[in-house]
Amino acid sequence: MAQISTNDLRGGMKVEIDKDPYTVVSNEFVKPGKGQAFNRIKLKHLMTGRVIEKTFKTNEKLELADVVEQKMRLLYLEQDAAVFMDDDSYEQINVPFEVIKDNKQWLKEEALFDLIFYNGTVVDLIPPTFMELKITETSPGVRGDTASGRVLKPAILETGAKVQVPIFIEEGETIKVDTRTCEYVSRV
Amino acid sequence: MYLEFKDTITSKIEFLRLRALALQKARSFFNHRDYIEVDIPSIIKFPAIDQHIDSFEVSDKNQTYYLHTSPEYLMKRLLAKGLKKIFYLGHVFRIDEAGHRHNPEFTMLEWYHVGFSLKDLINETLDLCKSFTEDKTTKFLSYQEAFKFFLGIDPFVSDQHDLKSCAKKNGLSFDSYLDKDGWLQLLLSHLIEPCFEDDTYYVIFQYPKSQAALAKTEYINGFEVASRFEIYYNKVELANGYFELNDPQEHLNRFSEENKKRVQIGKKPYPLDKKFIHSITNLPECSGVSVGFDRLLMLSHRKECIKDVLCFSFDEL
Repeated sequence: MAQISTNDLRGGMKVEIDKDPYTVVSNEFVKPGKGQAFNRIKLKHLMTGRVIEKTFKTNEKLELADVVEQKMRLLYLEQDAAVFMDDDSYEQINVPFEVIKDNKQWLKEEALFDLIFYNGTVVDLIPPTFMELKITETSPGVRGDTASGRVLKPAILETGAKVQVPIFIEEGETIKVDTRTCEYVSRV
Repeated sequence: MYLEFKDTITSKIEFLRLRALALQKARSFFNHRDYIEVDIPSIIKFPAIDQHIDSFEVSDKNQTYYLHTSPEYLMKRLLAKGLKKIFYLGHVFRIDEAGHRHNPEFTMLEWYHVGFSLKDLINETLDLCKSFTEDKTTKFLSYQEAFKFFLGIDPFVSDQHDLKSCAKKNGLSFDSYLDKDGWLQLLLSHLIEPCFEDDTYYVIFQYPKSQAALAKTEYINGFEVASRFEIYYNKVELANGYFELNDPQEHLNRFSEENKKRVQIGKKPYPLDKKFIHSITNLPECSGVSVGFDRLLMLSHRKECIKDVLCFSFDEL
């Protein structure tokens, strides 16, 4: 497998350490004027998200992890998995909900997701940053509530995500939402 | 995007005025103390021999030369010829050294004083540094005291295994091979330096003999230690000074040891500078120190990154 020198590691690169894949968060060069040079590297586990810090000698070699990102369209949901398709090859793939974890709340058919493959298996997915989704459940906005300072109310979207929306938004409306923060952006 | 770009350039242009003033200030510090500035050449025929420092090579049609990694050898040749107080303020070059506090080309302020004790030199170095920073607090710790105080281990009697378990106990994750000095350097840079109090100078002295470089050694409490010191400020290594070795045979021994280690770690050995070795016979008792001038500027202006104080950093070229 391809190797990289610890001194050439940059944020965002993917490496494999003790058979686990990590994303490089940062790389700090540490060297006494007279003495051994080190690279102090912060790494985020690709699956668990746990951040660790490890130090290497400068110019030690690390294995690059076989990680690829691919845009795929959500076709439909099954009992415990989502089925995605590659628009170009029409290839289909089942991704279990346990891999998708919290992002299950953004699974909308026809939307394009970034699927992260590690050694050929999907280990994570990233929803589109902004999605337009229909509100399936929220209490009716009551005129005069703004006077008490209350300007937001909870709402449930068609994909199951819970967001805070302005009180003038009604059930059945479609809104634009930021999937990174779960925040309401605008009416559509 | 455009505005952001313009802003960094603007602030840097303004900073360069401060950099120019600082260069003048350093020169006048030494002029007032009757030092002579020596602008020795940066292209040299024989590189400094150090297992952890690599020289850029430059060639003409016939021969390979090197960019100096420090002005040390040529300055010592001047001392051997009779100059007594000299300083160098200029650029030096080291391969692969790039980071927040490193740039492959950086500014070194190095000076030598014949007949000066190491203690006098420490005080003079502190005077210089403190003329650039507001803080005046200084703590003195021997190398041994620093390890005992911050990590509870004795660097002189501990072996590689002890140092490795100390690293592990303190949550430092490191799996590769290191020799004893490597472990000491790892612990010092990763576990001790971060404990240094802010706005305080730390003078660390009496280094292990194996890290003497070109310092004389002496026996203290039964251990042979190097007459060498380092100064840290705000957790940053700022100065490295020696009571200078002036025994030609011991130079040969140490260079051969360094070259052996270079070969062990897969580097090529460097050729001996015979004129330098020969001049050592005439090198009087003296002390010398080098200060990372760009770092001094970073610290005096509270800049996080060395590139903030340079006209252009290596990756801006």
